[in-house]
Amino acid sequence: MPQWLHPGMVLIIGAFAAPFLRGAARQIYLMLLTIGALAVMMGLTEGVYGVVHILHEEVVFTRVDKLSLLFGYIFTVATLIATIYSLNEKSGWHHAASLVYAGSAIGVVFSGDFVTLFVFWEFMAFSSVFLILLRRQEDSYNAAYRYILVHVFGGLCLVAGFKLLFMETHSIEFTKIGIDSVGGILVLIGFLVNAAALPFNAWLPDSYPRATIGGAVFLSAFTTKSAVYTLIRGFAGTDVLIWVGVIMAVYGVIYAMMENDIRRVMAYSIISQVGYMVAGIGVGSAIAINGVAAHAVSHILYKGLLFMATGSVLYVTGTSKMTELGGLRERMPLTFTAYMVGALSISAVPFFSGFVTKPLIFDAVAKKHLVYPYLLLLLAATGTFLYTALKIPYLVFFGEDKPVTSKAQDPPANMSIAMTIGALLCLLLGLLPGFLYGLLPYPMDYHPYTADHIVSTLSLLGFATLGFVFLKNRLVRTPGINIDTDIFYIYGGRAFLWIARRIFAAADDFVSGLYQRVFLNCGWRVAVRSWKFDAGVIDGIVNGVANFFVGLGEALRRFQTGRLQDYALSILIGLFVILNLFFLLF
Amino acid sequence: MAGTLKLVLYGVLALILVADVVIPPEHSYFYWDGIPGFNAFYGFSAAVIIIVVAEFLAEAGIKQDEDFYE
Repeated sequence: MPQWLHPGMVLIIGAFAAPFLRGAARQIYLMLLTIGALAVMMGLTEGVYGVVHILHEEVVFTRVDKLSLLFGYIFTVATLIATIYSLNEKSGWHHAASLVYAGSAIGVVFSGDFVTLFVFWEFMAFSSVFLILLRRQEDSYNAAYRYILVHVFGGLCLVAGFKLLFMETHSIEFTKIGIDSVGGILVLIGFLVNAAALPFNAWLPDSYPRATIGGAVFLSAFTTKSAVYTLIRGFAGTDVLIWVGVIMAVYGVIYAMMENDIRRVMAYSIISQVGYMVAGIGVGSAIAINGVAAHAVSHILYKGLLFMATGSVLYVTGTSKMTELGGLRERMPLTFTAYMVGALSISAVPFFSGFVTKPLIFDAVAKKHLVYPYLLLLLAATGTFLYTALKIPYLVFFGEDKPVTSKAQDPPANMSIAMTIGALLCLLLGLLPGFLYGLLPYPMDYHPYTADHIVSTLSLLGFATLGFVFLKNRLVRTPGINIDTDIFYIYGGRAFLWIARRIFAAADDFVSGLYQRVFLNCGWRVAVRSWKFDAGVIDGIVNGVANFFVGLGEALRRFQTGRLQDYALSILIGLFVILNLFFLLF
Repeated sequence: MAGTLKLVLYGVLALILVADVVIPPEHSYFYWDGIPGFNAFYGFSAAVIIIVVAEFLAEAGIKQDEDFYE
């Protein structure tokens, strides 16, 4: 396998054929492409490839070491499973978006410098939004709009931070950053936005449950875990991340316990699980980083599995609300089994994947004698077990039959096969941890299957079950939504629009004129390309190419008084582009 | 049926407790690492706390109607 072949680029370039194929030809093509990317990935060996010199700077397209290899492997495996799961998706654009998204996430992992990283980072945001838009429901359009705004904000922090760092160090190499400078802090915020850390968390439970059924499986794997990867690279051992992670872990659990939509429960659960990883990155020791990397791998597998199972429930019943579901176990045996494997894996029950990865992070925290973080993470681990392995099975798979129960059956073959593969991998990882341990960035000497570890896990979870049995009538089981930190920008956005109506509308022409001039007058190709991409997607230059642009426009119109929304958005995007250019070039 | 299930649960929990007392702890990073039954106590308390706190917060106004933002 030639070393210059980049598995992410295989997916990104290959993606563009997807919309032009139909039926079985497309399915075969998608399988060949994702298996091909996996094969290319398997052929990669450690080293630095694709080095290009631009303006005295060394742009490192592909940096392969143990850490990026591990994330590359799991990302390509996740792409394969999620693609199988969504083979019956009818929209070719959906496939194109999901492959570009997955490929960009792989691109982020192999980026050796800020410029490459940033370009892939933006590709990730602007391709993934289609997985939300293509659900084609009004609430999805609105959520997609909020999603892209949050990620534009994150991207802006990132590019500003990179520029400041570059002014300090005169290097664009992506290496350890730390928070000793303003630039470092801005980059950290940019990464934390994608990791869904508080207070930048709300975009995740807002958008993932409103994504398409297959799209949510892709989304669950890449954005947050590529952020975990970049945090490991840039901020390992940054103390503040311990508490950032602990807060995420506990917050995610409490919100998941209150949630009625099973896919939103899974979304909050991502925040909680990524919290462990962020805390582990804060600890920063060798075992901590091993633990974070290992847990990211098992998390991608079991969370993908849980999104596949909950997505299957939505697919066959038409609803994902616990209050409308019940008694599905006998009608969906395969989905139920797959769900339980995922639930026991995330709960770190012996013989399932979480059991061999989560304790590494606990071990790292314990070795530093961090009493309160340890106890709070343990609390969150118990809570995870409560809502995934007890509450949802109790209400959705057991529980009394509801009107939709009679419709329930296991989903089509491709979805069932994908779930089976996911479940088998979770079990395999749990039973044979040595394989994963061998791939971790630091040498490993850890044995999860000791009598003490098994018994302490069983007593924690066993007695949590007892608590559940005693209090099962006090579980939150009402319909409704949870007020989250997005309340600030939803209300803030309305206030902004109110002001925009009065003051900023006139500024729009000025701003767009300005960035047109800036764009026309500068010849740096990278910047031009990224501008074209940003502006193309948002401003609708490619209007009419596909329905979803029209959908976005409709969503924007509905959101407020028509064109004012576009003005506000173009001001934001204009600012974004100007600042991008400013930071990248001057 | 539910009664039998509960009895099985109690039986299993009793066995786990016995095992926890018998098996010596592997590490002693924290002062509670030597206390038999600590994890059992913590697991039970954590479950109760999480369920009660979630219930409290939901009723305190975090949980709203689905058309709250419309």
